[in-house]
Amino acid sequence: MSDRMVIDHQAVSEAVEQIETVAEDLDAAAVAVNADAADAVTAIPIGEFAFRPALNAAESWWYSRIVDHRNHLIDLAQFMATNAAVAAQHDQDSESDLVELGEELQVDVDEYTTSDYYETTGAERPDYNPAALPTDGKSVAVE
Amino acid sequence: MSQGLPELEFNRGEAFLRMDEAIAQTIEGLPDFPGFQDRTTLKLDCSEEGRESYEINYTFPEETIGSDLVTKEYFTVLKEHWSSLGWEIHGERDDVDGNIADIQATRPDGVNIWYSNMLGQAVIHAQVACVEAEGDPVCGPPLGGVTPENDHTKYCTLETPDDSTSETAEAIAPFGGTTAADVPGAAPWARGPEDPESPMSDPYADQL
Amino acid sequence: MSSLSWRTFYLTGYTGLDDAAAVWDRYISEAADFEATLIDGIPVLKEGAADQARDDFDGETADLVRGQARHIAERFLDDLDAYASHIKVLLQEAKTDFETKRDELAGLFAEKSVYLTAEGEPGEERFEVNESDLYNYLTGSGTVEPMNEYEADAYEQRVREQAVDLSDRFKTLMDSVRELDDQYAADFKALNDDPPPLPPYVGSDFEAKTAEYLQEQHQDFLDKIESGDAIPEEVNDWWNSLAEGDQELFVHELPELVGPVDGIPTEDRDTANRILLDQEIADFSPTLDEDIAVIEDRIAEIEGNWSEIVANGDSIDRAEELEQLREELARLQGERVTYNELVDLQSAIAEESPTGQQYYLLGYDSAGDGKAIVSVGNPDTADNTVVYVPGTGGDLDGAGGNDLQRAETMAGDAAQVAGSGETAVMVWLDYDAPNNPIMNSPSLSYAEDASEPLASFMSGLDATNHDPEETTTTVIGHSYGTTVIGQAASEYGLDTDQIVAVASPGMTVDHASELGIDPDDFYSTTAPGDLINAAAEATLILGSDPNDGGLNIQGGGLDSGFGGTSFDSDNMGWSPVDIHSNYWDDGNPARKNMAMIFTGNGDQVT
Repeated sequence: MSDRMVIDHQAVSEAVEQIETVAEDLDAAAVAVNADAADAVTAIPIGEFAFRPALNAAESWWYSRIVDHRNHLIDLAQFMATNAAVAAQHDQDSESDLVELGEELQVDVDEYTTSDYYETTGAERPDYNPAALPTDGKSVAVE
Repeated sequence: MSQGLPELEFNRGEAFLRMDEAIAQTIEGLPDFPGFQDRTTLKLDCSEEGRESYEINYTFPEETIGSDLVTKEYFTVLKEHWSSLGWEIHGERDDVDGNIADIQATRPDGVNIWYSNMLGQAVIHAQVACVEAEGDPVCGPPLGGVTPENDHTKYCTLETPDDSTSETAEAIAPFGGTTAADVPGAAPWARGPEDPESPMSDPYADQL
Repeated sequence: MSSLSWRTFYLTGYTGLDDAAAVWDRYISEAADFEATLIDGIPVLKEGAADQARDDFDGETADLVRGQARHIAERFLDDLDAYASHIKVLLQEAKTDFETKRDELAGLFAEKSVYLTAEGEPGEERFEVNESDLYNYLTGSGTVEPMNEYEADAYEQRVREQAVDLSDRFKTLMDSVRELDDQYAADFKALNDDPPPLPPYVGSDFEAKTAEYLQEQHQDFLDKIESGDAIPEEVNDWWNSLAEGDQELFVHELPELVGPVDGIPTEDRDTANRILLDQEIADFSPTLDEDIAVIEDRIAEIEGNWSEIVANGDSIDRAEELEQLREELARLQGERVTYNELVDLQSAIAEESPTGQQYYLLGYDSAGDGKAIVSVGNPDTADNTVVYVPGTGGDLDGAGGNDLQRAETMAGDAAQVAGSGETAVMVWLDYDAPNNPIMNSPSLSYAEDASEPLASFMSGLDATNHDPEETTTTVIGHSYGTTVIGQAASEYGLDTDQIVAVASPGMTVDHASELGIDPDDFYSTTAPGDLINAAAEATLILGSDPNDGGLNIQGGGLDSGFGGTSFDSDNMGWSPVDIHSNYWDDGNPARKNMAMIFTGNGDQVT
């Protein structure tokens, strides 16, 4: 990939936090819309109307799609955090947070794995959570 | 111009040095020579297998565009100057207003020089037609104070004076018994713009 | 299948659907700011102009990160529109539809006699006569006065007939309600049928996968390009609508979709085509020479030992082997020729041109004789653009050799005209030029095949030019190249200001006005003694002589001629064949005349 990356690890770390916040807000909003929309239609009995379970499935699918979007954002944030962490480790200049990473130091966008993130940043691995696993671009339909 | 020329006595290796030499001789005759803006090299058609045609172009500086010096006076001067060198004048052409706009001369060794008025922009072309494609084409530094960024030499390899001493001098001496070093102006980079101190004797005097 | 009963349907309130739609509506409104929040709200993710944030995170990887953020945001917003909005709309429509049906049912109930009662499971809806109440009513039991027999019979008859009639309508209505229910169920289920893919995750061939993702996002338009249904102007609009990062991905990861496409800017086409050229050259076998040598040695060995082979009775097998070896040798030698041509082209455009301009590779194809479009100078930014269409014998070899040198000469000559600005000259050899001047050139088929590609190319130049109104554009053909231009101009029209015909055998038309330009913008020359004079006059297969100035007498009257302006060119020799190629030679006044035309000074030609 690139032979050079210029990175202000402080600025990128701040961006990582912002992306994570956006991702969680995205998730929270999707949870809320599902709950509020479900509350609104409780008067329509689910066992009687054929469209009701289908509506539930559609809304659930939407949430699963949002989880995919959230995971993409988290994945992107973690990749940025990984390179920010590498840059911080090689920051020799106390005056500036700007570091230039050559090909040998930067984490390649084509070869990155989430293990790089945990190993480089020291972040704690989460408990197993299927919803948080990348699905390689495929949506997980929830019926 | 693949027909009607004398059989060339030099090959591709010397072609650019010969052309620059002919231009050096040409500008020796130009009063108030303003120098050149840029140099370009071109490769032209030659239908004969194993032979190639080349051209060097020098344009005059922008400040001379439209001046009487380059659009009128030089035509008159060159006619006399080339004749005095024993070159064959040809290719006189007028523009749509009846003013002379082109004149050419062919040196005895086959190098053709074409002085042209391109709507006020004066240009000198030096051309060799269908030389043997032998030897690496070498060119010396540009004439007339052309700066490196304006010197476009795709079809020849630029040699500095230091690289091209005795060997090149031997190579470009067009006539037997005289080496290039003996011929004033044979080293084309010897004269820049407005360099009246640079003498230029007729290198073909022996031949006349 | 819906098994909705009339009771549930009638008793259910549907305003909840509207409430749910309102919940989705609020969600969609708030989520619509997502891109602004993600991209604009986080400085280092912002694409575009250089600023401090870009300095804080710079390089190709940073650009890919920014591109990924944008892809996620765009995908989310598209999803919001395609799915969340769809859910909202379906909820609103369902509410309206169910309430309409319920109103219909209520109307039915209002219409019915009081002695009819709605009954029945799903699919069996009916109105039944309440027999005891009706009997009491008819017989006057209780407080009601009895009817006479005639009135009672008639009344009972009406009630019973209404029961039958309304039962049919009742069942039909409820069937339609259940169909509606099923339809909405199907609509909600179909919502997530075949959803578009999401961008790839970072890691494992991310760049290539992102390019695939991008390709899929634009597949509809790419199909339109492939089928020839997208005009260059549309292509240019599409390309300009792409983010810079996506353009980069297309160029570097999908160069085959960029390099040959008219309407994509020159710089991008050039980069893509150079990538393709490098890849094609790299794909040749590194042992090609050795493979050829091995086969040649084996052929020599067999041929050298032929007497011995015959004596040993092995001649049939060895003859078969020889035939196979010769076929393979021919194939490998063909590959070698193609390889050499491609390497020559690569080498010819590797550095700056002799005029000091850059070369741009606008297309190439190694199949057959080969094709190529090479520009000296960038036509998108030049003040004057010239498209040179070579004639008979044009091939890949020439596009990087002799024809390219002519383009350089024309660009160099034009640059010398005072006040001319930059002139970009292209060699356009995107057609299969006839190989043999005697056998092939009289045929129109080559020009007919070339017509559409040339017209498309010219439209592409117009679309990508920085200032088409102010740029002087010229199409110049040599020999059969003028026939190609004539065919294209008369068949499709060419986006050009001027047309120049050099040594033309005919342009398929009889007058310059048929070329789609003002005849005053047509110029032609043929040197005295050029063999094409005889060819053009003898055949007339390719149209009238473009140099016909109207002075010759035909049929006893004065001919108006071809139109346009003829300019001088010298023969520069005596051989009719050589004269045909001498127009770009040293000292030929044709060069100066062409330079004047290209730079918009056609009134200065002599």
